[in-house]
Amino acid sequence: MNEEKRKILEMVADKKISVDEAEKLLAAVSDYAGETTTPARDGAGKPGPKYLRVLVEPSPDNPGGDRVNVRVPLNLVRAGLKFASYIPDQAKDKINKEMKEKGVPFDLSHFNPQDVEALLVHLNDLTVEVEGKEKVRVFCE
Amino acid sequence: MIPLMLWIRVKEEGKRGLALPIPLFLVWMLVGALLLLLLPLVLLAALLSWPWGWGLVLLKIYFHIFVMLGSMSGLKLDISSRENGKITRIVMQ
Repeated sequence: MNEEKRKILEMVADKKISVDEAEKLLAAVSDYAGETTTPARDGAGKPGPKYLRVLVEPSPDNPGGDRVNVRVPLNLVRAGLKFASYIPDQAKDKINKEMKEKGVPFDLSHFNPQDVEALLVHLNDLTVEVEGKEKVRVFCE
Repeated sequence: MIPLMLWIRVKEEGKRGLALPIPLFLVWMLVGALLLLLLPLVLLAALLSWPWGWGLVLLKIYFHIFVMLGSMSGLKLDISSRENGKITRIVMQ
């Protein structure tokens, strides 16, 4: 453990900062040290997910249905989200307005690298299963 | 490894299928060459727009394209769809 992280943990122990603040500081320290290039790790210390998988399989009563097997590297998701930070403010406002009109009140200007990392780390626990005409599974591995 | 090949297969029941391989590695090579050709223009545009604060953004966007290409490592698509007895399959890996 490096000196900065130790100091942050000491500040938490002394109740000088909250756990949320410490989490942000630790993320910032990790970013600064270039640790974000390695796969994110979850709370248990095991390596975080590397891929986002989307599987669509036809149900047994409809064997001729569509099939989808997509594996998207989370680094690509990360790079794509970072690319969004280069969108000019005027364009961001337009995108936000359009998304709000479509029922997705999502503000791109509030998206920062720490949020992206937190989102990707917690994707490890994500599993979406939908069964209907087709069986859809979204998960990370 | 970034995806190097893309296959598009179309098969109609009772007919001969069509398989179209697209060598993505050639596409990436073309994209790389195009990006290198664009580099002097990007540098010039960055230099000219530097006083307005756009220069650094332009350079970051340019280098981020390489990051995006590199991040495609491990990307895999396999989509198969059946419509009116026609099966279309797209595989990229």
